[in-house]
Amino acid sequence: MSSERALPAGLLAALRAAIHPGAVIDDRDRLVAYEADALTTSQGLPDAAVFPADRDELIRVIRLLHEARVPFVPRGAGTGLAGGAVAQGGVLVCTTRMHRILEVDAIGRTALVEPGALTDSINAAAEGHGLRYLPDPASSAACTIGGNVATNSGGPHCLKHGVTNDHVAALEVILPDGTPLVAGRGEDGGLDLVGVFTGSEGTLGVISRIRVNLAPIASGVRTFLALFDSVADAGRAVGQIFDAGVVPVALELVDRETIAVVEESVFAAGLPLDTEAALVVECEGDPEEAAEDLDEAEKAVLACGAREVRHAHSDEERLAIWQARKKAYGALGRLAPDVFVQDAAVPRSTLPDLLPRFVEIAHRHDLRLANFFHAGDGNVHPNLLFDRRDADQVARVQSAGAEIMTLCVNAGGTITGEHGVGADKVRHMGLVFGDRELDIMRALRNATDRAGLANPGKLLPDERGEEAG
Amino acid sequence: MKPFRPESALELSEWIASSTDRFRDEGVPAVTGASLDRPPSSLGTLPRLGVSTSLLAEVIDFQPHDLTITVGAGMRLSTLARVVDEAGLWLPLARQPDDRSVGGWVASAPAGPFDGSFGPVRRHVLACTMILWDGRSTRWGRPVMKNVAGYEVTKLICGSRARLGIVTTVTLRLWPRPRMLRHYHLTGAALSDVETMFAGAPRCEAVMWQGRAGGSESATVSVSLAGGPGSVSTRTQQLETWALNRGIDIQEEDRGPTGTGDGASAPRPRPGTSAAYRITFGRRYLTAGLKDLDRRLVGEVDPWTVEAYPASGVVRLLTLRQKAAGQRHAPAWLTTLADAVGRTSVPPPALETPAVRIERGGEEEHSAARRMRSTGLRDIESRWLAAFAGVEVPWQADYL
Repeated sequence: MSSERALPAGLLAALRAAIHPGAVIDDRDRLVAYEADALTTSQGLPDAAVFPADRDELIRVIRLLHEARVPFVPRGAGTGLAGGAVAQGGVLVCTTRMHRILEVDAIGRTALVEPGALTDSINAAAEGHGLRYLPDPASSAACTIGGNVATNSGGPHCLKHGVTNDHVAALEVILPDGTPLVAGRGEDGGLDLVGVFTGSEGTLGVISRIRVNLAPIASGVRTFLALFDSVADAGRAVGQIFDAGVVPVALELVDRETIAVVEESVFAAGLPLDTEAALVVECEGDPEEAAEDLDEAEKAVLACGAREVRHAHSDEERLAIWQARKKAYGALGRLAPDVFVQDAAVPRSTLPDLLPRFVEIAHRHDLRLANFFHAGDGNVHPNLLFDRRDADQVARVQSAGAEIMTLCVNAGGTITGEHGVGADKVRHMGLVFGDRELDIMRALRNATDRAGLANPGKLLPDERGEEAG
Repeated sequence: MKPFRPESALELSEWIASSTDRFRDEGVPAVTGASLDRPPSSLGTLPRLGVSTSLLAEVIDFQPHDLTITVGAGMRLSTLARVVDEAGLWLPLARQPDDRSVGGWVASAPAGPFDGSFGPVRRHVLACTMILWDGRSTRWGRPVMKNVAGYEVTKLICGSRARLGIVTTVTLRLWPRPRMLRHYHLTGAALSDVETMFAGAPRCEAVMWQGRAGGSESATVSVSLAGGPGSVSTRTQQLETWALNRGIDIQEEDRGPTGTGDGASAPRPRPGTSAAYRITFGRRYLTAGLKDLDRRLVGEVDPWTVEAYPASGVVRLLTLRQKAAGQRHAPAWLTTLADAVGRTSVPPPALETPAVRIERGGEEEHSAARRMRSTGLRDIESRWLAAFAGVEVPWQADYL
């Protein structure tokens, strides 16, 4: 493939003149690094990748691409799980060099950041002021805040605190024609534009600056791990905790298959291998609040048949529990080369019924299933393990995955709770939106992008209802 | 002219679809929520079509274990609060769930004292059914806690004042009722005391500072504490000590079993006789902004009340309208206000612009507010509005 010929003549030179020449890549050997995001089964090669260093360079890049009518895909750290940051030709606009924390406003409790800043780096900057950024995607050490905003990321601690969209105060987006737009949340009597730009997956432009909300670091955090002999019991315990009047900050479920693989890895937390399910429950607030909330939660899990409750007695023990949960995805690599990640969100009370059915579907397709997910939010990740070199396995995974997705939607759920639609779930959008809603969303997109340049083929199916790209 | 009151969403949808010619001549109707017979107010003498969702007031689906409820948009907030409370659940609404409809609450998205700890209106809205201005019915969101499929149009609906369409059902996120919920009034608290409270000690789930024109001597601070009994009791003691040390009087307010009874705030003026403005200063310069407001507005405006929410940096300014001689709050008045907001003594940080939003008021105020907005924002907004029904929809003055 000769990538340079796919771009209009002179564009690469113009891009190189507009930003640092070394910040434009077009040789195939180096572009291969960007052929996928964390959803490795969805692949594509851009014709070039550009790395603007700041907002002004970003604006120049987008203007040039717009003038040349070349499609572009915004990309942060490439940790997304939906194939949203993969380009099929065109130009990849990488924000990783725009990684400054521009300001931490301790009085106003906000931070002004560039999109390429690592999510954890916001916390590092805010920590000294006793503040933190609340959403905590499992990849927070590696992912960018721009990517979080683009996909409206969640994370284990979003149960009480809310997702990314609840923590963006304002942002600036470079529209697909290169015009910068500062959007707020309707403070001036207008519409909540931030609410739509957040989660728009790069289809409305490239985010150039973000003002995120910060919150005081809680003085008390308490965590336990409850072990169950049945997944359904663990599912029931989730509801029981809320019935007790407690909203934990995190309420996570890990199943037997996941425990087995984590215990074999360097993140082993000493969990018994015969446990069918484990719940991680964390409460926070002032120390008294965290302790009494956790007490209520403990009563609730014991009432639902938990066979053992293990408290984290130190920060080290608490971190070990969280490592076991957060590194589970990576540890799955020990079992199979590929993982089909699911991300449906369902009404919480359907969990005890759905969890055994996921297992049944996987078994019927002769596949291994590993569940670890945000039980408190009803955001399930039934992950199917497979080897993509085996065409038969791939076909079975597709079929089982579609069945699980339909099951979740029929239970009142949605096709994606936090990972985004990307390229991966475009074909499922019709399960949760009618033609009217899809038409309206296309019109919203076309309103700022008549040429269809911003992340084409992602998020929305085209008019024929087909998967693009 | 009485508003049209559909008994079903289908009836509303058909009425709109068959009235598009009429809308072209007479304008899109003014929408009211729970109000049964009151003609749309604050619209001057112009006779105008009206539509009321007051009969769409059923509980459609209530899933206490999922912490979700779906109700008709015409249901009154007070009714909703009761239904939810009977199931042991809670919606951290404004301090006084009143006769406003759920649909009106979503459409106007007013600021509230719990916004800082539980999030503003948009965080509670999981899904909506909305009939567009061409009669088509659309559904946005799902009854789940997390959902990133497609654009989050529910966010666009919150605060949009029926410009996208008429919301007919709303699915809300609920919370377990706090095991303990206490409300207190502190009298004699100066503005600087509010700053101290915002700085963290003692922590309260809701803080509202209430003052009147001409200074902070008469200010009252209302606070709510929610959570486990141990934590709430401890924090109450801290609060009492804190107040004692400053010579501030503290009184507990009993709101009855629902925890949602009337507060001690000024009686609510009749709709149409008052106007409400939401002023977003941001937390950083809320206090400076309030001081400026005080200085600039004394003598300019009729009797007014200020409610300030330190946790969200938002101020609600309530003014009484002059009834005499058809006198109205003129755009000039609003310009003064905007000017005051835009020139507070502390410069706003980048991307954060202090702004005025009209929560309740007349068309004239709205047109003045519109002029203050940037053309870039107005442009994208009008294009996005056109994506819904392609009908020119005026701002809804009083959506109750």
